[in-house]
Amino acid sequence: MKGIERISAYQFGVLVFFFTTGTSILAVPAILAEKAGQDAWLAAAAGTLAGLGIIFLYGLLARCFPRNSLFGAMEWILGRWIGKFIMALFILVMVNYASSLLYYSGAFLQTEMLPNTPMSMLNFLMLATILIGVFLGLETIARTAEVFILVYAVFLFLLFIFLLPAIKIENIQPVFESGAGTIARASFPLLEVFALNTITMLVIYSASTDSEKQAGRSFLIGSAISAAVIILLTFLCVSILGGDNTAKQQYPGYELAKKISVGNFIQRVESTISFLWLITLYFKASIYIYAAILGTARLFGQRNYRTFILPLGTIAFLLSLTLYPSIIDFKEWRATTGMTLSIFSGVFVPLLPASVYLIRRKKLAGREKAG
Amino acid sequence: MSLFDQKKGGQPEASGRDCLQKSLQDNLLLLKVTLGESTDVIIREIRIGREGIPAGILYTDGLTDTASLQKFLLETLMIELPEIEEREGGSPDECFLSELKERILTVGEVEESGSVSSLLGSLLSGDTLLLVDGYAAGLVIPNRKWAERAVTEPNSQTVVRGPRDSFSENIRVNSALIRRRVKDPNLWNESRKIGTRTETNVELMYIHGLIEERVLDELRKRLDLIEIDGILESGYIEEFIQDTDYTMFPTIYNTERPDAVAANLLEGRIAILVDGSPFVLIVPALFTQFFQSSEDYYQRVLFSSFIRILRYVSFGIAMLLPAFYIAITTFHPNMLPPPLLISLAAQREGVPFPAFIEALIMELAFEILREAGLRMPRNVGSAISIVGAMVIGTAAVEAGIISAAMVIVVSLTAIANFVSPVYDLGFTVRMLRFGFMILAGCFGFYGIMIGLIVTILHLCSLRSFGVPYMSPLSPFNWSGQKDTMIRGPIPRMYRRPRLIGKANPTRQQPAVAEESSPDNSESKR
Amino acid sequence: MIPIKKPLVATIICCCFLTGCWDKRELNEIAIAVAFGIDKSDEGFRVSAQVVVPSAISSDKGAEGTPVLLFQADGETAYEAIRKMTKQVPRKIYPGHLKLLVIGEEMAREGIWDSLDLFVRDWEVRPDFSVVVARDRPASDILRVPTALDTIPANKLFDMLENSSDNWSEVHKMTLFELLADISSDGKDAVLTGILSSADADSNTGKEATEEIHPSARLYFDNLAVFEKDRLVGWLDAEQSKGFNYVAGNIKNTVETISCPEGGSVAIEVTKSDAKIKASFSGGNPEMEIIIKNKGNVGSVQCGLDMKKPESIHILDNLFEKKLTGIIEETVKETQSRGRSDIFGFGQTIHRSHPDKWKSLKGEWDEHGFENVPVKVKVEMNIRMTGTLLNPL
Repeated sequence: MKGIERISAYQFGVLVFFFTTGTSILAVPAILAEKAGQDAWLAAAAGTLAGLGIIFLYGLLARCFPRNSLFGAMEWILGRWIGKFIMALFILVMVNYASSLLYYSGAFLQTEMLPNTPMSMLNFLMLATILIGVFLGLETIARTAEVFILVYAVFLFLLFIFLLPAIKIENIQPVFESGAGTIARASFPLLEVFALNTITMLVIYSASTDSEKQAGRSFLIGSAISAAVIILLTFLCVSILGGDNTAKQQYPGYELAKKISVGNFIQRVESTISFLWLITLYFKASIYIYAAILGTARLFGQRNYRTFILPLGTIAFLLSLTLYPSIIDFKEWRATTGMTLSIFSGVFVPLLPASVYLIRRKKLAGREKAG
Repeated sequence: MSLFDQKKGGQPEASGRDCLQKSLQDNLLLLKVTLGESTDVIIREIRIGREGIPAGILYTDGLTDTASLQKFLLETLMIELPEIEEREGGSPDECFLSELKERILTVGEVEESGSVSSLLGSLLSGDTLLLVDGYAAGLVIPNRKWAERAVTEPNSQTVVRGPRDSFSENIRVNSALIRRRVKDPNLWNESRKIGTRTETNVELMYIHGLIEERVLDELRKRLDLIEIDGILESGYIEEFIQDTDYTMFPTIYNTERPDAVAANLLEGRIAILVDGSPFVLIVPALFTQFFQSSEDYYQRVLFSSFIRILRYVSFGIAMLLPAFYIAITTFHPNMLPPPLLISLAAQREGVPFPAFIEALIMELAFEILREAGLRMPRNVGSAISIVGAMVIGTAAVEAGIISAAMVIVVSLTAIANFVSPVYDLGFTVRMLRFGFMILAGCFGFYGIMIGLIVTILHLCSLRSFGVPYMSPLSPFNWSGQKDTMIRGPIPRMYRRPRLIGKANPTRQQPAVAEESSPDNSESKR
Repeated sequence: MIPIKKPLVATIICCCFLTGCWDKRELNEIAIAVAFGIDKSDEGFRVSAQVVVPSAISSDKGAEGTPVLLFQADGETAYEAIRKMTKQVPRKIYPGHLKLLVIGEEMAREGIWDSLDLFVRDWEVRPDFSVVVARDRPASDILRVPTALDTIPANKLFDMLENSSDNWSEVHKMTLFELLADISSDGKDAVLTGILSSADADSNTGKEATEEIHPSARLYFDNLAVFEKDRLVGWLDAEQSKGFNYVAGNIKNTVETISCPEGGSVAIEVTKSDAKIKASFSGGNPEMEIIIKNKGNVGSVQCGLDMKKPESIHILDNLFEKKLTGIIEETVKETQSRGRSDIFGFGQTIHRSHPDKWKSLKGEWDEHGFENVPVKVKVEMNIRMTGTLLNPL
């Protein structure tokens, strides 16, 4: 196949949107409402705003690294062995995330749609689709995202429109009851899924976009739109379901869709709405797996990353089936281990090369010239 | 061949094989033998001029216009030529052949050739050969004429409003139909013969300056790579030059409408005409192109847009409706309004098959009926449709084998399939439908969703001569949207499709400078 | 890559074919439950399910046999009881189209949360069905009564409830979803509509009952059941129910009859009613104010009022306001005297408008707070149209 695949800035923005929206639509309102109650939407706003700041920093960082991708920068700045070591850890985290997303989609489908279908089948189907996408390459994934964003926008728009009549503004009162501290604490998990994990996008950031400046802009715009969607959805959840009720739901977003009833005609559409969530999840998992596979290929010095599709896919598949004994364990994992991994990949991984770069800038620049 | 060799024993091999001799008898014998003394090749030996030089006229019976042969060749040579020679007192000399060509023969285009193979080629294409004793060359006089279908109304792409002519089997007629519409000196035509035995004439037509040279070069390269004995239809060419073999989606457009070809040429596409086929191929072809009919551009804007949207909806119905029915009834009954659920459940009482099998049976039955109706003689076709309607419609429901709702679903699917303005995409849909049904039967909506993702992944990975198949949906561009889901007003379509007419993107100058942003920076993804 | 791709595709297809269809249920393999009844039994729960017989309802085959069936089973949990029904039903009970959940009074007095959890947790149940309480009898008695106009009793009851809450507003259609919101929030308690049956022991509840013009067994909605948290604590009578609905803003359209000053009466159609509850504090103690703004038309006049004069409208306005104020004050007093169950959501109102003060009140709101809070009622009426007739005949 061809050499480096390139996607346009717009396509990159779409991928950023799908990635950052990711798991948020369905479950995040419950996590936020658990601590912040009816102020969950404020927590969403706080979390995404802080997240946008972090994403902005990532964008800056990406522009700092003169060498192309995140992996390239690691190797270049940290030296071959340390760089490869960090890279390997990073790849493991990516695979872990991918498998957790697989489990998540499987769990959702088992809870809300297909309770008797074995999770292995559900995950397999999802993973196979992801791997086909990865096999066809980043360009194809990006173009597919471009098609789906249109459908996605229409669905989301309809969801909002249909839910408007059900909004009860009393449900969000009293506003700001829980106070700044609680809201900040409540928003932290969102910060994690929204911003910290977005470090993965750096793998395809400059390696794959035509103009760095435009890419930096669409990085921000994509995540800003996603932030708006998250805030709006959390607002809908709280104002329609009520704060306490939202916190009690496993998937408040899905519960929300059950409230749609327009003229006793457009109703019972929640199975269709679940498309919204599965599609973002698909792209998020695709990017994780693509990043992991690309990194592995680099780790082993292979030019053709496609060799690693099957091995890594198998690992992710098996992990998704064995890592979490139950949905409660999964939630626990997300809140503890998952958080640690996110901090590792979202804070440590970019910070280490960045600081080393700042210290050794001159030397590296010299090496650059020599090389 | 041994006879040939004996005859030409003394001649050097290289020149002997393909060159004519000076002796007429030798030449005639050579041609006769090479053609296996085929009875449809007529050899007429005459003597021409005052001196009575022996000459031979060869033509293929049935491919030649014998009336003009009579009038412009035989009469000229046998009656007028002696008179001219009388008057001018000249006698045959070295230049007799070129004199014939330049002064005597009153036909349009005469060619001189000494090569046996090219002469044979012309002869078998319907030209008349004139061989004169003493000259190692012959004259090719084109007076082809054979029984052929006239330019009729198109069968596969009919319109209510719009021109009614369609291509025929004659490549000359076809190219003429196109040139009549585009009188641009830049409309270039390049021709080649493909097929070692059929020697089929294949012509490329394009508007120089609008097309991308890269696409043209690629097309030429692909055409030159074809090594096959025969090309009988443009379908052969299509298979040879398409980007991928294993896709259900057509990546080359074909049409029998000259106006559609002209419109596509103006957008910067290349037309491939194949002799003997009324279907002209057009490259590069995009997915959205298969939802466009030339009538869209002749009807009023709003109506055309409505129809366009209707086509996309029908496409969706034809592909997904049975799958949706299966998914909803067997996996998601909670999506149905209660009265409908009860009514469907009542219909299904006593139906022995699962909904998936039921749908499969009905779809297969329909496909069989359809294929049967297509290939049968016309008058049998109506009998088939009666049987089909009886069996599928009434009897199956009354016997309790199939539920009535399923019949509605299958018929709606079938009708929606016919909405497609291009026949090719209909096949794709018919095949994909079964895949979606299987997925829906196993996983409900989840299966359909997975199927959709895979389908779109596949569509997005396709290219037609380097142009992404899904453009302008992905890569997305705004000006392309004027002619995708809707059909924008023609006075406002300022630009050619971005990835196709890149060489010269401007179609018309906007009356007011509405679209000032140049899209040259946008590149092809 | 082709050597890998092909087996992969083949595997996917094989997997689908060989093992698929775990969750497949044909429409003729499910029993569509339209109503559930929950009662107390010795084991714990007795669940009755009203299940549709599609073939008896479908129009083309003509109604043969009974349109619905009632199944009952006991179990320690409601879930267990529903599953135990498979011993009597050849098909799996499918609750996705549930219309009505009837809770027996006995059960309701002990608490309804235990029975409701299942309906919220189950993935197939959509929380948009109505919940009602069977007054004085077990829920199964209610579900046993056949109905004529709509052959599916649950549908009929659902429509009846909807119709009645839209046009008379004495009852209130409460969906499971709204009920949950009320039960789970602080400072607001729930009410549910009661359902009554006129059947006595020897009433005919067979199919023939639908052939009687005036069947002895009839179902009707009346009264609102007052809950404290999830336990039923009492009933509001018809007038109080309406008063409650005014305060709760549930009135969509209703009719009030008011007596004229010189005898006779006038019926007024209330077309719009907006209720607002305001909380204020005087010296650290909360005070509630209920403001109800109505719009209406004159429906029928049965007294000598001269409808041409503008004063008459004012008189009617005032009379209406006086009457409604009376009803509402009465309702509030009655509820407060019963104590503890804050069905008007006064607590919630305070919470929303004065979150800081609510923190201190919250602890003892149920104990003393609600009972003692002073309530002012203010009703406004604005009669606009008088129908097609100017003066009474």
